[in-house]
Amino acid sequence: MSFRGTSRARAWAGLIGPATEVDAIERDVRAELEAHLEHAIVDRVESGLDPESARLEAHEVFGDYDGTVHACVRQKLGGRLMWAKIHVAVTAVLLVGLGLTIHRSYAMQEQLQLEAQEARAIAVEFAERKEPREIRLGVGDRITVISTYSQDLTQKTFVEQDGTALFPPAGRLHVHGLTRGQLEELLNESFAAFYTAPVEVYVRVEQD
Amino acid sequence: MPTSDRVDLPQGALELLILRTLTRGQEHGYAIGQRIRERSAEALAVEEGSLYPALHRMERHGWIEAEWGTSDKGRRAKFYALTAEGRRRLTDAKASWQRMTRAVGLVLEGGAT
Repeated sequence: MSFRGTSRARAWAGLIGPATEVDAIERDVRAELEAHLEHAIVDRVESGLDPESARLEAHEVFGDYDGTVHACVRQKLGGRLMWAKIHVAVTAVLLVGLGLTIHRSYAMQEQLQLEAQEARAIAVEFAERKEPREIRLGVGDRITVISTYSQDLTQKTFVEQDGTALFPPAGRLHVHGLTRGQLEELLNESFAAFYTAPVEVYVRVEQD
Repeated sequence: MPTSDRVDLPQGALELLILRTLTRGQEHGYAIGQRIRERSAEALAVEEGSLYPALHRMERHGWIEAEWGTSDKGRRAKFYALTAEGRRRLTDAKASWQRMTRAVGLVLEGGAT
């Protein structure tokens, strides 16, 4: 088995240096271990063993030849192999993070689209109710604001004793005596200061 | 020597033995293993699977350097030699080893008191 002979080793070779360099290291290690075996065989032959028995015994004593080649190549590459592993791990983490961010972004976009559709449906429902735009606001009237632009603007409030009502983020506005249509215009103007596009609010008024 | 009398090398000992062996001059891997075995009265048998990766690790650290040459048996072999960095490493590792064996000896003999 060759170090370069496995797809895993080839993949690492690409990260830790040119494949030719890894090949050269492996060839050098194998040549060194072959030289070791030759010396071991010669020693055994000089001790009286026949060449074949000497060869078999030398190989047996040596043990895991390919494992030793791989261990030597790993040692030779040393830090570069570690950095290659770190490189792969960091890349994997970044890719997973990127994947999650994209997934989350799509999910948020979908949620915003659903909310906008919901708001539009409510607005249409409001429009279809054909509440008279001339209805005038008085103390204690309950106001529902719906916006197709931003869910943040959809709110419920009421006309207080001093004739005002609170409409975040525009703040407290004097609404007593306004018609429903005038209130919608006032809110569209007041909210416009906080957004870059027309906010399109619809108002529903409930009176006792 | 019977196999049962052989000693397993503790962590770091192999590098120390290799450095010490190379103070007598450059040697190839097979000869380094032989020298360690002979000088330990056959008690230490270094396995090739440990010896060669250790040699390559030490070469990467700059403690030893390698060069192909011809052995006394007329065969090609890779010879290792100590570097200046390797000599410093040997001095440090030897002192550390002696402190450790002395401390272990004290504990085994019942403590310093």
